[in-house]
Amino acid sequence: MGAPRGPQPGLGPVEPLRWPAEVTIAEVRALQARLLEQLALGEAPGLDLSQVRRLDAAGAQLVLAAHRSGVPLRALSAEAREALEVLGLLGMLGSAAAAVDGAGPAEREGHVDPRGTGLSSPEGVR
Amino acid sequence: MSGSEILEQLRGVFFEEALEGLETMERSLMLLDDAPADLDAINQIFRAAHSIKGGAGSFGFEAVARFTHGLETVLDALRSNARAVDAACIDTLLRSVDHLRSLVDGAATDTSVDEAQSLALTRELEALLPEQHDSDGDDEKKATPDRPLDQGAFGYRIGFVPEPDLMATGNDPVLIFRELRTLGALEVTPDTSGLPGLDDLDPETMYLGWSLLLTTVAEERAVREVFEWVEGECELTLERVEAARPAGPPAGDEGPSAVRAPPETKKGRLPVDPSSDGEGGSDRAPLDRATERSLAEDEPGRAGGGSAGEGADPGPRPSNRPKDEAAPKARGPKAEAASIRVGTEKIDALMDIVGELVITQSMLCQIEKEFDLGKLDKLRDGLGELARNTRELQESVMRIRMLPISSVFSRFPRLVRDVRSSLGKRVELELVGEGTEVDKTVSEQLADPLVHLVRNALDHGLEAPEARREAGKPETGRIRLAARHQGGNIVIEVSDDGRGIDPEKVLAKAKSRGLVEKDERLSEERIYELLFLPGFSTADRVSALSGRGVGLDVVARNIRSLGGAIETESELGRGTCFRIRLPLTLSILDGQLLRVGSQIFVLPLLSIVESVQVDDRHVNRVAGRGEIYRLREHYIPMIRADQVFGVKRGPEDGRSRLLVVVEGDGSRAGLLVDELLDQQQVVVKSLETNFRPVPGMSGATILGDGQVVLIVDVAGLMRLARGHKPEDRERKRPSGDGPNEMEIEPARDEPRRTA
Repeated sequence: MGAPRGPQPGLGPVEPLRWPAEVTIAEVRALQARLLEQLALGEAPGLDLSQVRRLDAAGAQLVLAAHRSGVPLRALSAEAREALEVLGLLGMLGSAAAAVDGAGPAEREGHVDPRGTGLSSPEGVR
Repeated sequence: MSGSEILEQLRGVFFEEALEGLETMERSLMLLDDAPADLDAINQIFRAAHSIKGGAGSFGFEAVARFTHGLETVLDALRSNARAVDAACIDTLLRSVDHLRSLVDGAATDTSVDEAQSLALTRELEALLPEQHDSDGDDEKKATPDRPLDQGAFGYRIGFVPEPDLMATGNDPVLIFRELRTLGALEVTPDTSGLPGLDDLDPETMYLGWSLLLTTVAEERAVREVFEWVEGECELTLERVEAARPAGPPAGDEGPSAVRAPPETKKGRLPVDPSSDGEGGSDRAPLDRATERSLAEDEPGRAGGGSAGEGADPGPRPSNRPKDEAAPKARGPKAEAASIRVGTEKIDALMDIVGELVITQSMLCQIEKEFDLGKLDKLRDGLGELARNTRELQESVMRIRMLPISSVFSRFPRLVRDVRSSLGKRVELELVGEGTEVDKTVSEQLADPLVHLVRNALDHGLEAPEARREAGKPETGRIRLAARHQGGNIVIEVSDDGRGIDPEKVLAKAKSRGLVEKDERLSEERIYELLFLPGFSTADRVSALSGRGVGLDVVARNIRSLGGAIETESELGRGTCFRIRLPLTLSILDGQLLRVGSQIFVLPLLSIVESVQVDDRHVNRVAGRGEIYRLREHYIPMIRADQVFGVKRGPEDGRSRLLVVVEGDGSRAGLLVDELLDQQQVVVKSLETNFRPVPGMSGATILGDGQVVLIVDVAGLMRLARGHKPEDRERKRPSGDGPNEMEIEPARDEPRRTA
């Protein structure tokens, strides 16, 4: 794989690509195609997980791969909790993930990376 | 199939499985009632509840998920011995199962749910929890799976590296980890080193591996059970670790897969790898690391996760999923009618027969191509083979529709438990032949009649303990529900060892109600048949359960509508047995082909009592009542098929000379036809669906020569015949429900010619 394309994390895309409610194995191929297409166009949309109500391991893999390819992740509202719970369950959010599932209000709120770079750290989640 | 169709299908599966789960819960609760220490039963209930919760959450049925969560918390307390199982607890859990069923039904039918009831039951469930489980605002004390266990707990270090095609087989690590989390505190460290870049990613291939640290008191078997569905589809290592011993990385796993303690590790949690200090790559979350190196080249795959991701072809994606979370399904009433779970051995048998059919067809084609008279024998052999294949295929398909009667019987332990406590009786229920299979349609329609009979046995059949003691019987009464195959029928018996039925009392009641002449003498069998008349009851008292005379007539009607019959045996002081005989299926019936004029009809063999040549001397016409036929000592109404069916007769048809005595809806009649033809099995086609309802006909079928013929509905035919003679009035017995032939005035001796 070559260098990540599109704007780098931290630059904050204006219109993050909103994902469907279900990011599961049935959808991931189409989502990957959309992402690659947008990256190829240099749009680097970013990913807003707020709409995601169901995420499976295939979806989580895609999120991680997209993030590694330079796509910023956003969890703009408390509604992103579902997606964050799965990412946490799979160990992809680090120690902060545990807090996302059923702890205090701050954790339930999801979290916005103030830098717009996505869920970059446990602190970012808390 | 579109996405929405797939979703709809999955929802249907969820409802089916949820209802199955509820049945499991109820069944296991009944087991628990008898054996409160039965850990397997508790675990079964917990798993079923957990599945429902998981499925409900996935499909957004919040009310179901929320309520089940409370239920699950109590079950968790039970299985960890934090709370003892007692009758009050089982009562509440059973009511919770009932409520959960209504919630699932509500979700299935998109109807509103009783939130107040949910809340009230949730409070009751909370009250069952021991002190440390009370909701006191301290999250640490809640019975959540993530709650750290006390000192002395132990756990397991698990290495889990899925095969690349794990997800393609419908499995999902998310579901597995959620299941693990129900067993205790779970710490997860992934190995993402095998994950390729976005453009090289095959999204259906699993590239990741995990190291897990599970702190739990569960046995290893329970932990392994979680991975049961991915056996052979992953590399799995399981190592038990004690609380006092620092845990190292699992064998064969290193680097990124090493387990580390999260910063919030609390007292009582398993010690963790002291080498993990938060600096190494392994202890950083993938997204953390990904951010840091978002501009960097992707690293090549590494051991574990790397191997999992190479060259994987996801292949097709069947829908099998991990046991609990994945197989959520439940069935609302609609879904129940829409699907059926079939054992693979039945499908395999079907495939074998289809294979043979194809070979036979191929053979016949070959004969046809080179046919001459010399090949006639081969043609006959081939056709014989085709007939055999077809018969086997039919039987095989019929077997697919067959379900064990346990699906009906399973509700009775609960019913008996509930009713016996309200009646203050001691009752033992015995279920026999639960594996006996019956057609799904028959099975679905059998439940209500059986419920009536069992309730009747509980309320009226069995005596109170003191009465039993005085009668020299054990205080605990016995109800037996048994099923067996007999010929082409299924026979179900509901028997009790109660007080039995007093035939004299029944007869006296019937006479007092004018159902039987004052001086009439009836056989015991006939007397018992009176019990199935509408409104007939010998009960001295009316209870909430029975005694109003409503029920047994419905039972009889339902059974007859299924083409079955019910008979009663009873011995005063010893007990009663209701025996139901039903055809195994409703979609194929054994039929008697008969000719009326130039038309052919099918008469269900089961409804035929006998056939006799008409003796004109026995034909009588009764003013205002049509014709009757004296058959030995009884008189039966005579129905001229050509007139009722509107068949035109030519001069060549002559007079109908054959009387087929049929029984339907408890009555007998003689059907005058021209000729009996073959007997054969016929496939019932719905007239309602394919044409329109036809009075007196239950369906249609297609004969071997392509001719469409109608199947006679005997009970409907009798009603139709009565309709043809509006002046026909019946005697005191309510029409259609009398158990035997119609009673009419005595026959005159002189012969009468009929028209």
